[in-house]
Amino acid sequence: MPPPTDAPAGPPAAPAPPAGRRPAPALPRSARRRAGWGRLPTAVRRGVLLAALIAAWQGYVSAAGVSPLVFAGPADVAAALVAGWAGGDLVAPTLTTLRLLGLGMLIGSVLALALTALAVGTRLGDDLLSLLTAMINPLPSVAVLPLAMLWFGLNETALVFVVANAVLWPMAVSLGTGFRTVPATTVAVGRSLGLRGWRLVRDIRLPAALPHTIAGVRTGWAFGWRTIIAAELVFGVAGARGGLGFYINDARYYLDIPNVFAGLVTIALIGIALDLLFTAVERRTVVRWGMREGAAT
Amino acid sequence: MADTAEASAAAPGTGPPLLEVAGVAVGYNGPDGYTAAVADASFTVRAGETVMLIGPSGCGKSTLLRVVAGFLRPAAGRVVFDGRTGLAPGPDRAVVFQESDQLLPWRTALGNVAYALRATGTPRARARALARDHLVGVGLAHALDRHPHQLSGGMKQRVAIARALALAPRMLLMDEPFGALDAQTRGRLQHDLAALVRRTGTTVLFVTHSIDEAVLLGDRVVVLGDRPSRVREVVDVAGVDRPDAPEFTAARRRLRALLAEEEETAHAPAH
Ligand SMILES: Nc1ncnc2c1ncn2[C@@H]1O[C@H](COP(=O)(O)OP(=O)(O)OP(=O)(O)O)[C@@H](O)[C@H]1O
Ligand SMILES: [Mg+2]
Repeated sequence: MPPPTDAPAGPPAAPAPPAGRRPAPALPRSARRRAGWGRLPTAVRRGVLLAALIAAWQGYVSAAGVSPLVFAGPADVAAALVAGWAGGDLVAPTLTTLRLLGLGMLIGSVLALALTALAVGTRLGDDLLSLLTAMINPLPSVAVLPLAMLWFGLNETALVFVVANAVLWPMAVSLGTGFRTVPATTVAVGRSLGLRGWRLVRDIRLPAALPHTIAGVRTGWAFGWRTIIAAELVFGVAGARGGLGFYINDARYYLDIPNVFAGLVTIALIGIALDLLFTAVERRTVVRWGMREGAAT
Repeated sequence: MADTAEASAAAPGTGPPLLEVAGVAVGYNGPDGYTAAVADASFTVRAGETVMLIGPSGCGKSTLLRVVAGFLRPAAGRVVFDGRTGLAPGPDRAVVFQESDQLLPWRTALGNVAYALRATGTPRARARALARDHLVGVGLAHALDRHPHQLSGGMKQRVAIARALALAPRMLLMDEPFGALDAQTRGRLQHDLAALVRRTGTTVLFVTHSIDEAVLLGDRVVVLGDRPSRVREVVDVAGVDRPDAPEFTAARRRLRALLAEEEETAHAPAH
């Protein structure tokens, strides 16, 4: 960007130089914004902010003298986290939750794929999917938990059902959009190479729909993750082993506040980790191919 | 691709008709019912011949090309390619589309050309080697590993041309392939295409807006009228391939007159 000769469009960062004297070449706006705090690398900026927040947290706990029965400081939480992960008390619930989530997502994805295929292939399927998503999508997915418990009993199947239901609808919507919005020219190119049937789907339609597919899995996972934690909180223990939601509830019952926080932090960390994973997958595929603008993280 | 059987063919345009378009009417079904794009088009393309389609924007040139490619069924008339009717799309009629999103975004330039070859039965290693040769041929040796979104419009168009040429089709269908290029590159690619056609005897149906391009590249020029279009005239421009030949000026004047006439009738007040 050449140094602007006219007044910049945005609000000037510094008072205008006196008229008559040649102004020193102004920094381009982007460079100006990058001065100071903005010039630090993202990781450093975030690290400093995080440290400041934790310090504020510790400061509040020390200064206000809140009862340890309702609030825990970062040091206690960190100790509980380490103990939980080292001793295995947090490991088993985490694995249980992830296993149920994975199973629910798998079933939900397969159903979403089948529904999408039906919807893209037939008019009736299309109408059916539109109607079902319009009816079920606004319903918070934990809301079907009572029904699931009635149908399947107090077991893991009920949880898997709730998660599959949470994942299915947003994913079917994304997949459907993905397949419907494949550019006509792209399909024409495949057809003019003589591709038909499954090969046309595999080599042309599926990769062309990938941006929406990844977005769908991402939304599906986010819905599923919130749903399973909520369901576990309500549901309590399934069989002998409870998940993270149960772990938190259990800790609350025994007024073990640091462990409540440790459970929450674990949930947040897993959420962050999976989000980073999806971002990395997108970077390597659809962003690299220019099929989607890179989302800054 | 130099090993095509037609390589030994005599002067272009003397072979049997490879494509016959007879009384074709075609249009699109929209929310307001059927709208005609082409009212009545008839012309033939003989094996080894290069036939140009020219006419005002929106007159149905791309539509006619889509019919020959097999994407659209004519509402009336018939299209016979190599003795066959009821055409489905296929690699024997490779298409360079007018649209700029005709490359697969998830494949590199090399990948796009190589994939087309593999999809039509060429073994992987040979497909890559052929693809590389053809991309070098359109001046893209430096961009083999770039994805389409990293290429300029003209570069994308050249990848699409390389892809179509690499398939060594019976007939090349090209929809304004040089429209997005600068004068030098266009001149070079026109020259290369003419040489390739001469060498391999490939038959070409070529849509253009440019009268000069039509005269230089074509053996015959099919002039289409306004939408819903009819063929106004088929002008023979075989043998005129140098801009300084007197025939060139004459052919150009003739085409310009035909297209201008079209303009006049189109804009005359209706009575
Ligand atoms: N998919 C479509 N659906 C409906 N109408 C269409 C479609 N494609 C083209 N048309 C109409 O058909 C007519 C012919 O279009 P076509 O693309 O064949 O024109 P063209 O001669 O190739 O024009 P240009 O030189 O601008 O590319 C136009 O009036 C256009 O509006
Ligand atoms: Mg066109």
